[in-house]
Amino acid sequence: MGQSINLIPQEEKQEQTKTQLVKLSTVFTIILFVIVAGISGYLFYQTYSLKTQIQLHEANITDLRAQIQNQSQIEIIARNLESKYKALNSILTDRLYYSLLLKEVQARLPQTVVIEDFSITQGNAINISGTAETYIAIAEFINALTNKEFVGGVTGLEKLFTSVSLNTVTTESNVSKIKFFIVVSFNGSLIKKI
Amino acid sequence: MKLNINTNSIKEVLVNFLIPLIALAVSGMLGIFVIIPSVKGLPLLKEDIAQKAALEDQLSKKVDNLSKLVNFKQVVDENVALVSNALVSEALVPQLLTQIDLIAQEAGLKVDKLSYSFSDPAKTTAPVAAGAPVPPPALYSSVVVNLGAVGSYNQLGAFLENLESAARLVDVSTFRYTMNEDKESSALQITVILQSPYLFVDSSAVTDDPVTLDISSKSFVDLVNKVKALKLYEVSVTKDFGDKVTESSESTSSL
Repeated sequence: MGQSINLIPQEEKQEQTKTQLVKLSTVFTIILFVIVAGISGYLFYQTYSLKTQIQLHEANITDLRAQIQNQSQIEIIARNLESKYKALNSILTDRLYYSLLLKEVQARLPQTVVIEDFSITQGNAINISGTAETYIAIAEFINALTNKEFVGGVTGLEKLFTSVSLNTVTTESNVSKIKFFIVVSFNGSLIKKI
Repeated sequence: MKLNINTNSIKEVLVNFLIPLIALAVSGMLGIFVIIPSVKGLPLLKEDIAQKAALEDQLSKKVDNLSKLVNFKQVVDENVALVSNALVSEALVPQLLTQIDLIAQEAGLKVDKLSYSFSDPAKTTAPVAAGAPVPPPALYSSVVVNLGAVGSYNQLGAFLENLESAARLVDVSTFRYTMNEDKESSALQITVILQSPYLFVDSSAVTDDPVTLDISSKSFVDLVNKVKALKLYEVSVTKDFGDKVTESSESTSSL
């Protein structure tokens, strides 16, 4: 079995290693330069491209602003109209149509019951006081008000009255009539607009 | 004399020392002057471009919208007139009281009291419970009218219906009716609290702010149709005060 013998002197070996290292570092720096130059070029191009786009947008914006300024009169009219439109929309949306409420109460009122005092109070409630010929008539009136399937009133207002509370009932002996006082709650959203 | 130049050694110095040094220096400079500023600046530029593109888009839409409004100027003017009849710019109290009186007469009510006051828009919002979100203040001011009248139940109903269909908006805040002392009579003593909104608008052109009004949108057309269906009460106030003053001064001088 043969053995290889390295006859190169130690100094020569060190010199070869040094030369290889120097070459390697040269190649490395050149490769690094190429990579850095490539990245720099790409980033420079990107920056340039974005700046060009910004300039283009700015030019368009300036042009559009000039067009808008030329139409400032119609813009003022449109803004005024828009403000009033918003206010009107809010008013008409929240508006309660009490004429419908009156019609519905009248439709549910038995002939033997007379309303003597009718007042709308805060919180969608009505205070009603009046007289009736019998207790049954008062009960009929209350039942009619709370009837969610009442027929004969305004269409769509069947569920208008949400609750009725009978506060007082007194007998007027001199006229043989029964006085009553009820508080009726109603659903305001049903008389906003049908 | 012959110069003995060792080109190999110069080449070696160039290749092994100068070129790597220059490449390293240039790489470093590129890093400092190009890469780092670009890496920092690119996101800002992208953000800037996104903002500018959004602004351009917004302005472009605004130009389109304004052009549409210019093309339909006649319709816009009609809408302005309609909306201004419904929501007047000033309180115009005499005209309002006359309108309410006319409506009451039309319904057959006998008006025995008519007074007014102004409501502060900030106070028109309902009180809120502690911790509850505060509702936005009212967009408009109102004239509050207190009407006292005598009439029948049907007349009251007709009055409310006419009021609800009047071109100048008048809302019923609350109302009450009581039977007259004379129970044989069908006449009711009626008290109605009314609110008539008014709104003065004085907008200015703000170039970059969008105009969102779309006169062809369903909601706008619906509202205009609602307003169109209202009945306009033409109430004019004669302006002959100047003549009367002249007459007065003449009579004084003749004395």
